[in-house]
Amino acid sequence: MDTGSVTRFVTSKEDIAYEYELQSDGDNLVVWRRYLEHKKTQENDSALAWVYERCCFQFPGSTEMWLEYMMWRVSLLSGANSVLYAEEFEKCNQLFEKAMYLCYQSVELWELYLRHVVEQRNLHLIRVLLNKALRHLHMEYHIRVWDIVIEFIENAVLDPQVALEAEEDIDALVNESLFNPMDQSGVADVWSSHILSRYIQVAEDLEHALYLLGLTQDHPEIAKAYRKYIIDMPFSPAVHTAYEFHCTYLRSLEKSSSHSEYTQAMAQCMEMFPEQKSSLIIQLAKYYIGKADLFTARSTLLDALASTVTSKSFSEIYDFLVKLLEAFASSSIQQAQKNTESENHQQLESDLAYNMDLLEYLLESHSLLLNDLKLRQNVNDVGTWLERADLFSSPAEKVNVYTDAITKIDHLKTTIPGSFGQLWCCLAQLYTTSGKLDAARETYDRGLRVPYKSLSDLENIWCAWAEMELECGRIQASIKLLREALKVPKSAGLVVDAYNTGNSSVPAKAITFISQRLWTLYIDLLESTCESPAGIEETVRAYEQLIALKLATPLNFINYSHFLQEQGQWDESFKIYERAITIFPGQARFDIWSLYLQQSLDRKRPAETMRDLFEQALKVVEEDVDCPSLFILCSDFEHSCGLEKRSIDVLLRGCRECKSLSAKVALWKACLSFSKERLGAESSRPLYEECIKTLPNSRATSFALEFAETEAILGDYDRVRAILRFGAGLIHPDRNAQLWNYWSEFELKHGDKSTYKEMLKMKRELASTMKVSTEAVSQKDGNIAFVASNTEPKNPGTPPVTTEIAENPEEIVLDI
Amino acid sequence: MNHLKDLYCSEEEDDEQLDEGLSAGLPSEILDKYCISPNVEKYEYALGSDMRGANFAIGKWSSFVFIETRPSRRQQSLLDAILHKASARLGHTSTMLAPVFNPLHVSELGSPLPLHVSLTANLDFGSARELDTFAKMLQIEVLQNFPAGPLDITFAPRLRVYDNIEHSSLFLALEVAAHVKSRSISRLCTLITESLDFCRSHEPSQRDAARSSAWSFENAHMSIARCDNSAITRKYAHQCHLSPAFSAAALRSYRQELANLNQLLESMPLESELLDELKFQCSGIKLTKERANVWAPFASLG
Repeated sequence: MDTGSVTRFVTSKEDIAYEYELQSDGDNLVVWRRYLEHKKTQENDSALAWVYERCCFQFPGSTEMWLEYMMWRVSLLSGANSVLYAEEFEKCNQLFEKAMYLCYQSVELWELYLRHVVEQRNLHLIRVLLNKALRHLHMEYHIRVWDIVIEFIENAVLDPQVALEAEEDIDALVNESLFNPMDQSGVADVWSSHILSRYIQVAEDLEHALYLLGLTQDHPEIAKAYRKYIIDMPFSPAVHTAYEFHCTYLRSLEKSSSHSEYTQAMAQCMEMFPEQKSSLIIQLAKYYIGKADLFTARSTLLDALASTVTSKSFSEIYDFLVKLLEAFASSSIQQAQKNTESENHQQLESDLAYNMDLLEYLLESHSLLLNDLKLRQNVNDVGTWLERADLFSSPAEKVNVYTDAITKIDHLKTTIPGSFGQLWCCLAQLYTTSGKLDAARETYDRGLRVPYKSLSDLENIWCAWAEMELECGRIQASIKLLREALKVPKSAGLVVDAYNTGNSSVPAKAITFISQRLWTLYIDLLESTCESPAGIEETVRAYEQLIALKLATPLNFINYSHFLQEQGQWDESFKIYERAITIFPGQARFDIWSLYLQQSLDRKRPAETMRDLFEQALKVVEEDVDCPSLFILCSDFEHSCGLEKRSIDVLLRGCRECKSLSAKVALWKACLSFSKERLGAESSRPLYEECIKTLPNSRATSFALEFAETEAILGDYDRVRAILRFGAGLIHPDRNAQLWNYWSEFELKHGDKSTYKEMLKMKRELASTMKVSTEAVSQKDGNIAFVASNTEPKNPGTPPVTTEIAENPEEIVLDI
Repeated sequence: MNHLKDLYCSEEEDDEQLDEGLSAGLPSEILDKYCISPNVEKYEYALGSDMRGANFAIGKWSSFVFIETRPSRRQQSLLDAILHKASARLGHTSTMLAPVFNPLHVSELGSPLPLHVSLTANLDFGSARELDTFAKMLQIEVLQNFPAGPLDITFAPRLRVYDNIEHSSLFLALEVAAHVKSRSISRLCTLITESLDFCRSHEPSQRDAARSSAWSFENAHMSIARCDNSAITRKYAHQCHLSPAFSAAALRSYRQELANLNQLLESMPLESELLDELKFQCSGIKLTKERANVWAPFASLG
């Protein structure tokens, strides 16, 4: 202990007292601790350090003392710049060295020292210290030491962005690889890679260690480690994807291995990660660009473009190829401006011209290439083939597309019925428009030999062929075609059954004769040409066959009837209507009756026949068909026969029998109006009464008003008031303004003060008592009204109750 | 570069392509893919109990080998003229018996049809695999063992009437020239037989054997017209139906009538200029497989 230090650091009485105590009891750690505590209160770091050092040397094997002292020393340098205060850090390091010499088995001290060195960013010292620590410490503590170093590497040394950024710029890659070759290997972090390579051997988290190694850019080391742990051994990462590791491996091989090893690894990768094929192809192309082999890079991309089957891959490869060609063009132009040597210049020009052509082709044929892709995805998609044909303008090119389509499509795998037949028609149409009619016929003929599943394919072809012949003015040829198409087999029913139960094993050709579309066209053609008796006969035969096959629609029957009428065969035509009426139900029957009756009336058939027909026709009302027009027609007929009462009775019958409200209202209007007109106003009284009783309130009010007006004309004012009173009570005054206005005018004209007052009183009473209108409520949006039952009451003895049917536009019928 | 060259062509080439693309008619790939219509008649028979008359064999894979030609417009009109002339000549026998032939180069619906020179009768195979093997073997045989280059098919200056094996239809045919038969057709027939021997795992059926024995390369011809309902065939069928015991006599009479027809045609030689225009070149043969034709090309000279 030198005297200088004593005079500098032993300044107070307490200091002297502690020094004396240490003189007598220097081996007592408690005394030292008390002295240290005392020194800490003086805030003199040098004095405290002087005491700590003396204490540590007094107890050289005390790890605790050393740890405390070194922790205090390290805390003094916390946040200090290790370069500016290098001397202080060095002093501290030396102290650590002393401590480690004395306490080499203390893992805490090693950790503290390592952290201190890491703080200084002294890579050499870190490595040396790591080695020393590993050498001196027991195996179980190694990982604690490693953790400090690995944490430092991860946080302070490696940058995950570096590897990514280096890959992005294609322009720079092309320019540097093809025109300015230079070392592109980048700066490898050998220090980290060396440590990480050792760490991998002991690391618990192998994935993370390999990931960090991948960031070092030390490609030979990466390739070596990855080959060992990823390629040669089963490896299942948890945080990162296996694909990321393989990509890093490929990058390392690219920089450090042979071409064959790289291409072999790439092929293996493509097999392992088929969903990443496009990225790998791009990586491979970049590899070739890096090797200044633009030709192979380009052909790799073109081959991939022609074989890829997903839209994503296609667009990625296409975009990259376009970018590559653009980058090459731009770099070439710059290079050509710099380089004027004739030989190189010519080569450059030639390369540039080829690449520009290719670029132009790629840009122009993008749609075509996309179409190729769609066809690779599904070669049986007829729509894609038709789109492809649209991409070409010349007929010869279109023929090639259609030929390809027909030879490549498996007709059993087409999904849209009729589409394959349409394809044949398009091809034939091409020949037709070019005047090659024989080739068109040959096309249709071949198209008909395909064993289609769907009838619509055949229909398309037969119709197109027939139409082509028509356009050429060969109507008989068209008829012949359709006659052939519609040839009915002897056992038509059996064939249709076989087709329906055959589960696509029976070709649609077997049932061509049931094509409604072909029959319609055939009959149209026959009708348009039948001038001879034979022609008429053939048309009739065609219609009859259509009916026999149960293919005829109501329209076919109507056309058939009209056809016969045109031939003057009226009786026959009426028979056709009658046949149709027996076949078709409900609404169709009503439509046929309407035509039939009108034509019968026009033909002035005997009255009894007409009555008989009307009687049959009006039975359609029993099938819940709205047929007010038939009742009105019948009424008009009776009127024309001079039977006025009968004509009104027919309408009244309609009012009673028709089910729908609108039909009822229409018929009541007609019935009342004709009754007043034909039988006089008085005759309408019982009709009005029945009408108002049977119709729902909302509809009855207008009839009540009409009734009142009629009575006013007849001069019976008391009846008028009674009717108006009844009508007013049907619905709320607010919704019955017309009636109230009329009543008001009526009282002004024909009443007195009391009758008017009475009217107003009633209006007030009704307005207050009819506040809640269930009908109005039911008409609000979203509300559902009760629906009157259509079924008769079960008890036959019970008289029918007249139900007031609320008119509700949103009314629904629940058919449960 | 070649790829790019293919994509771009001069205007002249464009016009040529356009002309070629359409004037060549329907591409042969399409014609070959769908050459046989679905036989829908079989569904009627299959469903009914009566199988008689069904022109198909259940569980059999059939094929036949032929040389195909697609007559040009000019050749079609020449064939029409020949048919017209032959019909007139055959009408000399008796208007009642004269068969009315319909041309085979055009369908009833007006579509052009290819004509063919048969190289075999109908062949039946026990399985699809056998037929496949036959097709492959024949392709190899024809490619390796038949002289390279296209084959000229020329015709003898006479027409002949042939009938089918059921004696229900008559065919008006152009005889293939004798030297073509002896040199080329016979060689092709040998190759076909060898291919058949290679692929067949069983002896030919009785029906197949009968058909094969009825067919010989010496009769190689190209049918140009067909008559399905002639008085001669009807008469024969009627006689067989009435008294099966006398069918041999009926057949003799039927053969005699055919011979008479052929005798009439003997006296109508065809001009050499006409035959020159009808001759054609083929660079391979075809065989039917399911609905399609399979192409078996000869080796090329180049």
